[in-house]
Amino acid sequence: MKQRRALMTAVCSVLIFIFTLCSILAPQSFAQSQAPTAKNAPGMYDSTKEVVLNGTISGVVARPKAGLPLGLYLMLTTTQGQVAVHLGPYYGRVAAEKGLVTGTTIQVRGVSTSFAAGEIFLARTITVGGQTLTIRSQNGFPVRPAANGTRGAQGTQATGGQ
Amino acid sequence: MNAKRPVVPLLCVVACALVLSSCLGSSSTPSTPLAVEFSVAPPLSDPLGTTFQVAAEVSNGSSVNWSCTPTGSCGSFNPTQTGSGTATTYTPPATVPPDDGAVTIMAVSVQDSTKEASANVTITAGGTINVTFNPPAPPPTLATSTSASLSATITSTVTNAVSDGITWTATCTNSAGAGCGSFSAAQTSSGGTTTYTSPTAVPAGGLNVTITAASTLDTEDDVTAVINVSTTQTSAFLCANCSYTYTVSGTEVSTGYPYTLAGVFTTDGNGDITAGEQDFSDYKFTTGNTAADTIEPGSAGISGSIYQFTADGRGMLTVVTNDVNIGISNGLTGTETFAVAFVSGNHALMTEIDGFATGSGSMDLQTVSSFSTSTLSDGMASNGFTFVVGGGTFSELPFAFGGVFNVNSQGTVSGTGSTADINSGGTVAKQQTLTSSGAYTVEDQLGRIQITLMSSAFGSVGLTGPMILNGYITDATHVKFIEVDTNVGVSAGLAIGQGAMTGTFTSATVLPANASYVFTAFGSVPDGAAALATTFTSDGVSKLNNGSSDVNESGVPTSGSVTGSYSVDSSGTGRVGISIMGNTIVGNPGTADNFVVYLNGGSDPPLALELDQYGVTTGNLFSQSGGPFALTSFQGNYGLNYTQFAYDAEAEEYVIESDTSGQGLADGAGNLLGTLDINYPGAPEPDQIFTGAYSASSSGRFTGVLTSSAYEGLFGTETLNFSYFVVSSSQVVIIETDDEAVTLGLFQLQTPPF
Repeated sequence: MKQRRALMTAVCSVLIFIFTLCSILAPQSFAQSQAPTAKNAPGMYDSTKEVVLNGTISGVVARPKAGLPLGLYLMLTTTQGQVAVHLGPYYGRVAAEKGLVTGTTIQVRGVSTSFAAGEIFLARTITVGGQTLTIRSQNGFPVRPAANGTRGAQGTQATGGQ
Repeated sequence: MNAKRPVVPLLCVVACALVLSSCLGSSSTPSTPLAVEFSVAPPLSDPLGTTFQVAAEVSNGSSVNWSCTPTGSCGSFNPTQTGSGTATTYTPPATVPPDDGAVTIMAVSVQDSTKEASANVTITAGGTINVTFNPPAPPPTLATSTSASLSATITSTVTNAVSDGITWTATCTNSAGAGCGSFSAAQTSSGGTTTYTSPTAVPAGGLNVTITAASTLDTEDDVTAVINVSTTQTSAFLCANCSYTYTVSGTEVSTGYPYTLAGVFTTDGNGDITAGEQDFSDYKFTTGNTAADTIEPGSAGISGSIYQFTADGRGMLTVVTNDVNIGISNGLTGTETFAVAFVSGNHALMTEIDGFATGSGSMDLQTVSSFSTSTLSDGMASNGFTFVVGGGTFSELPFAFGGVFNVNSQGTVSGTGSTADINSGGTVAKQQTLTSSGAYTVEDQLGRIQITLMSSAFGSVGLTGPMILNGYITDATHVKFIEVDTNVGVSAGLAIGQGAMTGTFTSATVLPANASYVFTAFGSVPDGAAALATTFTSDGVSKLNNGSSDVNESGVPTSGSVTGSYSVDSSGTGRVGISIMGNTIVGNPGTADNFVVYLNGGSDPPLALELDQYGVTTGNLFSQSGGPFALTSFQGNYGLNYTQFAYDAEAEEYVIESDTSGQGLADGAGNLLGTLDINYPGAPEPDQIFTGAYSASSSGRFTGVLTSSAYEGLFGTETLNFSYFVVSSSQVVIIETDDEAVTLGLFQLQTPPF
C-alpha cells in the first residue's frame, strides 16, 4: 500500500505539472483553433462548435487534477500547443488496445469546454491508425467501446437509492 | 371613691406613652419583621470543581444556617452556619446534579427558620462533554431475552468527565411489567463494554426501549438509541408464506455494461426462499420476450435460495435462478447475492453484492394475492399510473422514458389521459401519445404481468417501439417494470398509481404556495456522470424560489443557489414541467435545466426525468416537511443505499459503478455510526464499519462526511464529503461533494419491527 501511495503521489505530481502546463497553454491554442466560437460551459456539448485537432499523444492520464472531470485523458501535442483530450469514463480499460498510447498521432473531433480549474477538449471521435473510434454520440454522451459478444451500448440510468 | 383612684395614674401612663411614641417616631418600632438578605450573592452558574463565597445579613444581626437542594447532590458549605454578613464557602457536588444542574442555595435565619434568602445556581460541567456510541451501533431491533454488546466513548477536556465514565440506562413505557431490559454493568469506563439484555416478554407489537449512554459526571450529556424489542427472530424478517417483489439495476463487472432484473419470491419465514421467478436483461444476454427465469428453492437456510439477517435490519439474500447467463463471469452460474437493508417490515433497500454485477434497487412486501387484468384498474374505469424506466438503448444511447399510462377496467392502457416523454441521448420528445397493444396479460398468480406500450415518443427520437415491459405487482398502485423486448434497450423502473386522483391534477392543487421540496437527478452527461440535489419552494403559481443545490459533475462538485419555474399540464394527468437555473447540471447559470415530474397524489415521491440535451437523468421530487431543520431532524436508525461512479485509485481507472447499502444510527447531535455492505466491482466488501458527521442548516441542506476504512481501497482516502438534504425526519438524500466520485443515495428511517 505504501508503495502504491508513493507511486500515486509521484503520478499525481506529474499530472499536476502537466495540467498546470495545460492550463497555461491550452487557452491560447484553443483560441486559435476554435475562434470565433465561444466555449461550452461545463456539462454542455454543442456539436455546432466542433473542431478537429491533429496531434501526437504525449501522455495518457488516468486522473486529472481536482476541479476537472474524472475520466481518461490524452495529452495531445498539437501545433498550437498541448490539449487535454477527455475520453470520458469508459476508455480506461481499452485505450491501449485501441492504439491510444504515447507517441501515436491521432485526429480528434470534439468541442472545448471550460471548468474553473481549466479547459478540456471533449472528444467525440478519434481517428487512429485509419480507424475511427466513436467516443461520444452526436449530442456528446459517452459511448462505451464495443466489447466482444455484446450488442454495444452506452450509458445507464443509475438508481442512486430507491 | 376607692374604685376611681387607679384610673388617673393609668390614664397618665397611657398619655405619656402616646406622647413618647409620637416623639420617637416609627423607625424604632420593635415589631419590624426579621429579614434575611444576601450581602454576597451566589453566581448564576458555577462549573464543577469551582468554589465560591456567599454571605447573608440578618436584620437583627443574628446568624444563618446554609443549606441547598436537591438534598444530597447539591454540594456543601463550610462553615454551615455564619454570623450576619460573614461569608461561607460553597463547594459544588462532584457531578452535575439532575435537572440540568439546577441547585437552590438557602440562607436560613437561626432565630426564625421561616426567614430565609434563596438563589438558584446552575452547576455546569465547565466545558463540552461529547458521548458517542462505539461500533457496532446499538441494533434497531432485538428479539426478547436477547443480548447486544454496547459501548460508548466520552470526549471532553472537563476534569473527571472521561475518568468518571458512562452511566447506562434503559427506559420504556407500557412494558407490561417485564421491564425495559438490563445491563451487565450499568456503569462502565469510557470505551468500556456492557451487555444489554432485552426483557423476557413484550406487549403485542413490540416494545421501544431507549438506551441512554450518559456521562456520569453530567448525565445531561448523553447519546441515545431506540431498540425495538419484539418476539420476532431475525430469520423471520421475511415472513412465512410472504411474497416480495424486487428490482435491481446496475453494471456488470466483467463487461462494464448495464443490466437490470426484477422478480418476485416467496419465503418460509425461516431462512429459505420457497419459490419465485425473475426477469433478467443485459446487452449481451438479454433474452427478449421469453418466459421468466425460475428461482430455485432454498434448503434449510444452507443451500439454494436463502436469506439471513442481523438485528440491525441488514442481511444477505442469495437467489439461485436457472438463468445460465447470470453469474457466468464469477463462476456462480445463475446465482445472485444481494445485501439488504430493511426500512420497515414492508420495504427494504438492496444492493447486488457479488462478483458478477453491482447494482441498486429495492424490495417490497407483496400485498395482493390474486391477480387479474382488473388488479391495476382497482375497481375504477380509469386509473392512472406514473412511470419512469431508464437504461441504455440498443443504439448506444442512455435513455429515460416516462409518463402516465391510464389503465381502464379491461386491462388496457387508454390513450385518453395518457402521455409520454423520452430522452434518448439528449434528444427529447415531449407529451407523446401512449397506448397499449391490447390488454396486458397476467402471466401467473405470482403477480407477473406483461404490457406492450406503443408511443409516438420512440419514433420521434429515432427509436423503434413498442416497448414490452414485464411488471411485478406489489399492490394495486405499485409495479416494478423491466423491459424485455429487443426493440429499445435495457431498462427498468417503477410505476406508481394515481388512484382516485387520476385526471384531477390542476395548477391550483399541485405545488401549493410556500411548500418546500427536495429534488434529485442522477445519470449521464457529456463529461460522464452527474448528480443533482436541491431544495426549493413553490409560490403556488409558477415560480420556484429559495433553491440551494449541490451538483457533482464527474467529480467536479459545485454548490449554489437555484431558481426556477414550473407549469402544470392542463389535461389533469399530473405531468409538471420544471425548469431550474443557477447551480444545476447544465453548468451554465444562465441556461435552464428542464425536467418533467409526474405527480401521483400519494405519499411516494413523484418520479422525474430530464428533458434536454444536457443530461439523461432521472430522479424524484420529495415533499419536504418538518422545517426549520436542526441536528435533531436527522436522528434515529436508518437504512441506506447509494450508487457511486468513481475513480479507482488502485486500478488507476474510472470505475463504472459501485453500489452500497447499509444501516446507520444518526444520534441527532451530528454523528453517524453504522455498517456498510459495499460492492466495489468484483470485490464485494460486506460488514464495513462507517462513521459520519453532519452539521445542520435550517433549510435542510446539511453538510458533513462519511468515513470508513473500506473507502481507502477504492478512493485512496477514508473520508468522503457529502451534503445531506433532509426531506423529513424519515428521509435524507445524500450527494457526494468531493472529487472522488459522483454519488447519490438515500437514508430512510427504520420503523421496526421488520
